[in-house]
Amino acid sequence: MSSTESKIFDLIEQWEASCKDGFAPKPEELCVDCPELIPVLTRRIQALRATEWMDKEIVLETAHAEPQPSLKKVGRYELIEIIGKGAFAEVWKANDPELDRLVAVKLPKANATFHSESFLEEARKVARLLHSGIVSVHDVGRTQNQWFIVSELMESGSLAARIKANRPSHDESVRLVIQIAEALHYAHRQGFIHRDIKPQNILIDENGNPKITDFGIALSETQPVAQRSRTAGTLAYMSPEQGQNQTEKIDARTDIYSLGVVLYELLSGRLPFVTDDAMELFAAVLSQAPRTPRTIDQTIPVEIERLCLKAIAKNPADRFSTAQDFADELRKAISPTNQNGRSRFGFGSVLLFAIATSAFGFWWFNGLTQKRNEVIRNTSNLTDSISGPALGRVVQALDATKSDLADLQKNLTELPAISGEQKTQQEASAELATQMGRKALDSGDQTTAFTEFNRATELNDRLPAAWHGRGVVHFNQGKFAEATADLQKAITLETQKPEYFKNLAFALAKNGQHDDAVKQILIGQSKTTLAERDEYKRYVAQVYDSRAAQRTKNGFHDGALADLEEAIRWDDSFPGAFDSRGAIHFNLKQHEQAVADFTKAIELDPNRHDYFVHRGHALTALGRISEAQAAYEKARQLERANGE
Amino acid sequence: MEQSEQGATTQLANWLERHRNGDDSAKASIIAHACDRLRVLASKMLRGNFARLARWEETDDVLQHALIRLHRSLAKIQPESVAQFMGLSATQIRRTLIDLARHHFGAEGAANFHHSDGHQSEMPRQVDLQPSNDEPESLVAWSAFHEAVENLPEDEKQVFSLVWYEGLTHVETAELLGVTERTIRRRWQSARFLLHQVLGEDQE
Repeated sequence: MSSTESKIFDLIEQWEASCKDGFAPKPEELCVDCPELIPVLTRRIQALRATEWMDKEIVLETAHAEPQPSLKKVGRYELIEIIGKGAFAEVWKANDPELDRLVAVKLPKANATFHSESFLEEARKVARLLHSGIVSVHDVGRTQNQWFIVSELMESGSLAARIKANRPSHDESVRLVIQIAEALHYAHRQGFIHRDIKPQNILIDENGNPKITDFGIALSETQPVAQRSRTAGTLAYMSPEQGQNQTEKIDARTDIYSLGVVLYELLSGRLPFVTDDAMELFAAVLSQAPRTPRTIDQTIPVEIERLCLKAIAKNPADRFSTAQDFADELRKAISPTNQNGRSRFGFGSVLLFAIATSAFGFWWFNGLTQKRNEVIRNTSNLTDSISGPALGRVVQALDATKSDLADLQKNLTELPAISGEQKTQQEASAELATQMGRKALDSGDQTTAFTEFNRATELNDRLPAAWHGRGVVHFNQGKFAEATADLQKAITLETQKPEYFKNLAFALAKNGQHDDAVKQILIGQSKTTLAERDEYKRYVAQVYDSRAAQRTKNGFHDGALADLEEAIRWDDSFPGAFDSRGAIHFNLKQHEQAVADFTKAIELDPNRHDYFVHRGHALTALGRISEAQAAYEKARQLERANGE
Repeated sequence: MEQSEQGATTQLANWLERHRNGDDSAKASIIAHACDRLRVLASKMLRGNFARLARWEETDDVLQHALIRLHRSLAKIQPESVAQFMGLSATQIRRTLIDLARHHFGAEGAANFHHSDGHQSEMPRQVDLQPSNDEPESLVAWSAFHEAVENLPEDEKQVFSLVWYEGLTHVETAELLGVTERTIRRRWQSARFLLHQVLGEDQE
């Protein structure tokens, strides 16, 4: 070994020793008497850092220990308290300091026998399920001896608790089941079967919306569901084919069966088969016809009972073919037009509604916003009651527009879309509210925009533009989780609008879910015209730039640089990425590279004064003072020009 | 290398002692140790890929085959010294890992043609966000890593094999090779630097 090599080795030994003491000296500090070795030492240290993983002990990952009472962190997540315990895992409320938000962390119990690899693989797949009706998986990871899953925190409790404490009304029950069925349908289309739908696995968010949890995760537990759940409580929701473990017969209709049982329970307050004996229950699930719900509660609508019994038919072929069919049939059953004889909408109200609806159209064109709002408020009350004060208020509101009625008559013929017979009351009002929302959004009035979009979603929860609008407002208000949920909902209703995917991507990125964001942009891009493709490349670059910013903030410079490389690879004319990369180089004291990047950023966008300031700083660091001064001067000029 | 405790030193001393005394059972112990290491390293390498594999063969079957091959090839060798035998054992482990990566997951691997595992066909393109300076994650990267080790200069390769593939501590490695611990540390450091250079260049 040459003396130089020997010297370098000694220096690295010194560096390693200091690192063990918790202090990493800079090459410059180590090479005080041999500055010529600084570059080579720098390279060696970089290499050692990059290959640190080779220096770690390799152990077989097998058993998972229960978190020790002293353990307060898994990965970056700080455990706060246990919020749920199952047979195999427990769920902790935890804090994610990086994104400053509360999350749920699921940890396996020490005695649980998991196949960790397949568990993780499954969890990764579940993480791809993005739907407002499914609890999102944020992260999957492992510490030295245990894996964990991080998901959205839902503190409002489960449907099981809700049934116990305050069982929802028939109407609300059906609406909940419609929402669950739609979320299930989304998952089914992605190739997932839940196999364990029951009220305990349906969480209710703070707005009262249901979200399915434990998607697919049950599958990864080494014992098949049928074996581990031979308790009366869970077996009750299991389909006959599942009970018999006929795995080849298990498909979307298995989940429809379980959801049918949930509906049965919601409507009647009890399960289709009631017995404490598991074997007896098992036999009943396989061969007995359930008691019809209306024999328990006569107020259950006949049509709803029929749909419920269809969902829990013994033979999968006799059930709905898709969860969406189940949802659609339920929706049809509760729509006002279908409530024959028991309709809350008499002829008078329909007539009034026709006038009111047409009037909306008129006001929309004439910009009489206030009056319109008033009528929207009143007509929406019609859904609850035809008589009494609400009706009075509608008449009053219409009276106020008497002078406009002549014009209204004239305009009516020009409003086929709104006055058409096909649309229901809520649908027309919802569309109008959406248009108003968009107008408010265009004028920058976020508050009105939110009110309008929100009302639109309440009037018709199948209107994608309304969900999209509400999502955009949430985004503008910095409520990124809410924005994500809204935009996901919009996408489930309208799958062809690239901008929905793009906006969802930005919400996800703000939520720290950058990988998902990129995926959404790419899906959006696949739906654009050729001319718009490049625009979407820029969006991908922006997402990477955004993650780079977050990583820089956390001191993860290498990761940030990698992100910016990726951003530039996607769009090499994106000045922001060059500016961000220059900033990292600057912070890493790589001033030459910093100057090059800032110069490139300026070349791409010569009107940003901050790019000139950055370039000035980097030039100063290199001692190129006169160039730096010129850069600062240019920055001042631009700032003045932009200010004026 | 971090401490590889649980009496490995004693175990190694035991093998050395038995070998010196002409006891052939030391060889069986080293083969068993090699099989253990293969299981551990394969598990590390295949992490995240087991589930895909499970579609064709049970994970354990794959490992079982690899272990049988390793066992057979080591059993054929007549060791002259423990050092030489452990070196060969490490080489066999490495080659088995390369085979595993290439055969089951490489460009021609059957796993790549299977799409019924929830593969997201609507994604126009898979985005790989893996930081370039981290432990390999893909099997292609693992394969490149093992091959880079294969191409290290003899001294570095020997030390890297015993430390990383066989899981010996620096002290044990020094004892086995009859050199100072400082020499082991230097060769270990040099091996990592060279590997970084090769793998880093590949990625650029």
